[in-house]
Amino acid sequence: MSSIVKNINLHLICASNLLPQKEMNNCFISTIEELNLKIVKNKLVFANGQSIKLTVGERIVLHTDSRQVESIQSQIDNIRNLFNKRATVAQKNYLNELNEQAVQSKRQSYDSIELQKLIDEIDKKKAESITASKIQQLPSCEALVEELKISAVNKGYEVIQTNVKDNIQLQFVRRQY
Amino acid sequence: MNDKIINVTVSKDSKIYLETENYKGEACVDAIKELFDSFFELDKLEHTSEFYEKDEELKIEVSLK
Repeated sequence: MSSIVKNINLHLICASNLLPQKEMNNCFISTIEELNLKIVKNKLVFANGQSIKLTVGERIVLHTDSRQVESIQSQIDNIRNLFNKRATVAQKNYLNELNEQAVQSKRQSYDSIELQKLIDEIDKKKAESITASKIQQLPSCEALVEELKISAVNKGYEVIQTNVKDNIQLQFVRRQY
Repeated sequence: MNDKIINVTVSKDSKIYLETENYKGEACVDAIKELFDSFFELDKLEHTSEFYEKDEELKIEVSLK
């Protein structure tokens, strides 16, 4: 072994590819506004002054120290639940938009190869969003595991999963030939 | 050649324990950052003795005919 990371808890708020980045950010901002939370630099600040780290990129993840997680867990659950409600509506709109884009593309006079390329891109976005929606509905821990696996596969790792008691063990392997 | 491995244990309360295998030196930090940069900002790492060893050098031999 060479390096170890421990004592952190990760809380997945939004799975990757559920929504376009702008819509994902809008849903998150309206969620934290409704809950009277603030973002200061890369931290989410609660009304009682507690703060946790926030990573917003292709997905949204909250990062707490294991020692503070108990006192803050219910608030994190509130964020996730409220975000999920907003994201469900936003995702329906997003899928409708994609369907509309497909219809519009067919109406326009693209050549058949170009049209097929557009339709394939739209179908890919729809499939990714539907898969992300299934991940989003999982309990936080399982959703996090699925997102870790997706990230690892996208970065060229082979994933081996084993479940031991209440823990999920993932082994990300980069083969050396 | 030893495969490069990152072991991740996720508990029910989403607690993460993460360790690298067969990496030496800064390569393990780079691997963790690459894999987890969209999940968290890496600020706390414990290093084992292997961290302070130099990573194996990649040697490529080319024979010109």
